[in-house]
Amino acid sequence: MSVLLHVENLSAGYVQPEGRVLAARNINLQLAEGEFMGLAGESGCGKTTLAYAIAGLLQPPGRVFEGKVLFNGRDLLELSQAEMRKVRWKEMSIVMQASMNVLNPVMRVRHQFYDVLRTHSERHDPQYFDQVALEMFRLVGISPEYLDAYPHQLSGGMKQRVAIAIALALRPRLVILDEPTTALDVVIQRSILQQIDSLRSELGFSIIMITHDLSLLVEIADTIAVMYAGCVVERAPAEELYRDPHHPYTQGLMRSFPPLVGTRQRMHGIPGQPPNLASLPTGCPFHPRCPRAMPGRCNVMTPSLQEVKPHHYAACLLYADASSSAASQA
Amino acid sequence: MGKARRILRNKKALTGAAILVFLTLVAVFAPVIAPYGPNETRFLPGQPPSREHLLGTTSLGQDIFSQVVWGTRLTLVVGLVTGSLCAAISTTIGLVAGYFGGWVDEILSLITNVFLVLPGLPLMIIIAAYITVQSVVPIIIVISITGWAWGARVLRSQMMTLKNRDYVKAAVIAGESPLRIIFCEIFPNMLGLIVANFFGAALYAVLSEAGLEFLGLGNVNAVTWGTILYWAQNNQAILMGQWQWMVVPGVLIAVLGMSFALLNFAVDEMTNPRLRR
Amino acid sequence: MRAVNDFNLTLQRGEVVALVGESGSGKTTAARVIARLYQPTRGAIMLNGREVPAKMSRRELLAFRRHVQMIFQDPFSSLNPLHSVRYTLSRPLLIHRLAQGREVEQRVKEMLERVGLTPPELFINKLPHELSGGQRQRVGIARALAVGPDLILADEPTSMLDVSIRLDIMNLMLDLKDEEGLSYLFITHDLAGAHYVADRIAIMYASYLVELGPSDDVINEPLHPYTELLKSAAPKTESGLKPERISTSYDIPDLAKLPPGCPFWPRCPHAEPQCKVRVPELREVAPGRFTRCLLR
Repeated sequence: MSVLLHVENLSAGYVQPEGRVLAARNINLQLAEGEFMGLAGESGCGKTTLAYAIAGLLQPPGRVFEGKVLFNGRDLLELSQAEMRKVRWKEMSIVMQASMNVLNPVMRVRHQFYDVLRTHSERHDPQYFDQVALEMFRLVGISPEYLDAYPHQLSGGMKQRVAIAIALALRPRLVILDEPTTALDVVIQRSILQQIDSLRSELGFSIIMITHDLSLLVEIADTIAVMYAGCVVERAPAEELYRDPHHPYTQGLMRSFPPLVGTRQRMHGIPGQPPNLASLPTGCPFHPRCPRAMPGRCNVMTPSLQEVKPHHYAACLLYADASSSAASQA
Repeated sequence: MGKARRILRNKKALTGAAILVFLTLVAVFAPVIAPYGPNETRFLPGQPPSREHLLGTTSLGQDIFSQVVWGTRLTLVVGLVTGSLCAAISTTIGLVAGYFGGWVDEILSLITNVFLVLPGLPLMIIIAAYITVQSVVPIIIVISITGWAWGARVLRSQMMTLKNRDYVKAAVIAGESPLRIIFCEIFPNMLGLIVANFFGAALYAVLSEAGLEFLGLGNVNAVTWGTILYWAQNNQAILMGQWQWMVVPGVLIAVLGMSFALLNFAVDEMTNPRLRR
Repeated sequence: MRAVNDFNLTLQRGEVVALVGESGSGKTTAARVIARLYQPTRGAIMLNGREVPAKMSRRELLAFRRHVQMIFQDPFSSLNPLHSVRYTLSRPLLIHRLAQGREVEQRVKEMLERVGLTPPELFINKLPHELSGGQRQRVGIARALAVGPDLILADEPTSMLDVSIRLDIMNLMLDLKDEEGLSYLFITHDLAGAHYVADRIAIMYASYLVELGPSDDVINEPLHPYTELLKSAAPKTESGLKPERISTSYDIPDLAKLPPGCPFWPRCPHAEPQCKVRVPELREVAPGRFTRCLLR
């Protein structure tokens, strides 16, 4: 499997009057062709900033401060707007949070397809556009009569599927989904995720799916990266993460989902709340909430991502090498 | 305290407020600033600007600079009073219609829509032409009557939105009375929009007042910037080379209007965080 | 078009009943009618054995509100952004004359401690935007508790909170239930959360109550096909990673265009001709187990 996307030491955030706020710090990720990577984290962990930085959509005051986004060998951050436009929709597309609000309310669905196809493909003939639109509708399971509907005539689930259809129209190699099912009900949610998964098998694209709901990813992703306070704190194949989470935050998250079946017993989430990115604690950002924090070490040194098992990485001093040079400063 | 700092940091608010404060000071200290009375006709008519007459004299022999300075008072008063009256009408009608809904809303909305559709300036002209009373009060009333409808629509929409917020429902469940809900829960959250609406109304008032007076429909014997324009036009100021007679009051009207517009934008920006850049 | 049809539910003191359904099922409307935010078109609400009249005087309404309170879903909009925590929590005490003068401050601090916002001095002056989602929700719970109600209607209290905080809020609600002898009607679309928190679960679909029974029974042996669908659609981290495929992709029903008969038959894998004729009755098929399905 060749590497499609390589995010190298990416740091991005926002320029505020008080100074820089880093929402994503030193992110290193690799995505192979056809791989489904889940990016899990709660509010304020920087996952959306990361997604936008990769897609080149960060607007001021947001900025990429350093790092590279190597897509097919090219650093996307070095491209001009015009070159980036060629990449967007055709090679990489993004389905944003609450996509139902992203569809233009005064345009029929068909014309929204035309819009994208006209700008990002080389073609100009409506017959081609219609063909593509019909094919995409078939793939996402919407009846073709809705091509001429306005967004307000569609339900939430259908709007989401339309957004996905438009994102896939030019058969991109990578699709980024930012909380694709948050506002939807559980049945529609599962149905859409199933559809995305089968589309991936059929069309062969890679997916980065961002969500705060780890339970969704465990069933569907190939790899999961868990983010906390702007850093990736654990990364492993989904099954491995599920069976053997190493980072205390991941362990805490796994324990935060009450089981559907089985006996009812008291469970506990993670005490405290996610930190403010503008004022992070010293050392490991998770240590104030960590049940296994080591005083004198965790509040002083910031752990970096290390391989704790084959293909399984965790950023935690519990697994750091005996030599303290392995754990770096921020 | 935080609010005051925010106001000071916003350039638009600062500029608008500075202009307003400056003009208010001019109005208050008019007797001190103006070298002569506004209606003293003892000077040589038609003089160009000089050291004794900074803006020259009118065709009747009045000092233009004194007129402009004294005119600040009435212009400001009429502008602010009209703006307040207009805003008061919009706010009352908008809030009542939005909160109570039902037939109250139907009737008030019908009235609002009628006034929205009526063309303002022609209506003002017609009404003003019929009024023969020589004072500024008719102008105040006329402008207010024709200008409240837009603000009422906006405030009604805002009220209807806020009424459905969870914290209003929570207040109902906690047992708050409807009066307390309108004034303690919803009204404070609308303050930004109400204040912005006031500045919009004041802007509208100043410009309409100037327009009506320029057309001679105000009290032509009162000294305001608009009536100065009227007399200047009547005496063919520009033809006579007395362009400063027309331009200076005109520019001042625009500047006053701009100060209200800036304050309007500033309040919008401060209350709607999405507009802040 | 009715948002809620034929709703029958009895809540015991100290009991938690979860009302589970998707959006458009009518669960939120049912709760708001019970809270007397809306008036029912038909039917009665009995509180402590006495009927709650349709039209109440201000005094009667206030008395009612001392018994039935509500917690809202969105912690970002359920607190007035301009009011401090102190103001928000004092109002119920003052309106219902439960405390005066300096006592009010003392009571507010006690309330903050009850819901885990300690030290209270740290929170009492804060405005909502200075608190996190979980903290705001705790303030909302404190506000509901202020009058000492018998029943709290919790409208999806955790769905907009981060996952790691949800359990804490649910645990807080359970602790308060034991300490104060409260009952809850816990509205949610999350079946697992309902199972964790509730003694009994009621399932709603397209404005109808379609299943009701003890929590464990409803989850382990669902009687209604919709409950089975919800169960298979719910994310399960403990199921050993074999994702269940659900067979339907129809969207939620449009209440204005419900087909005749059982509202679920268009999506039901077991639908039979008799299902399309009339809406089935909610029947007790076993002690305490109700279902609105002809096939049981």
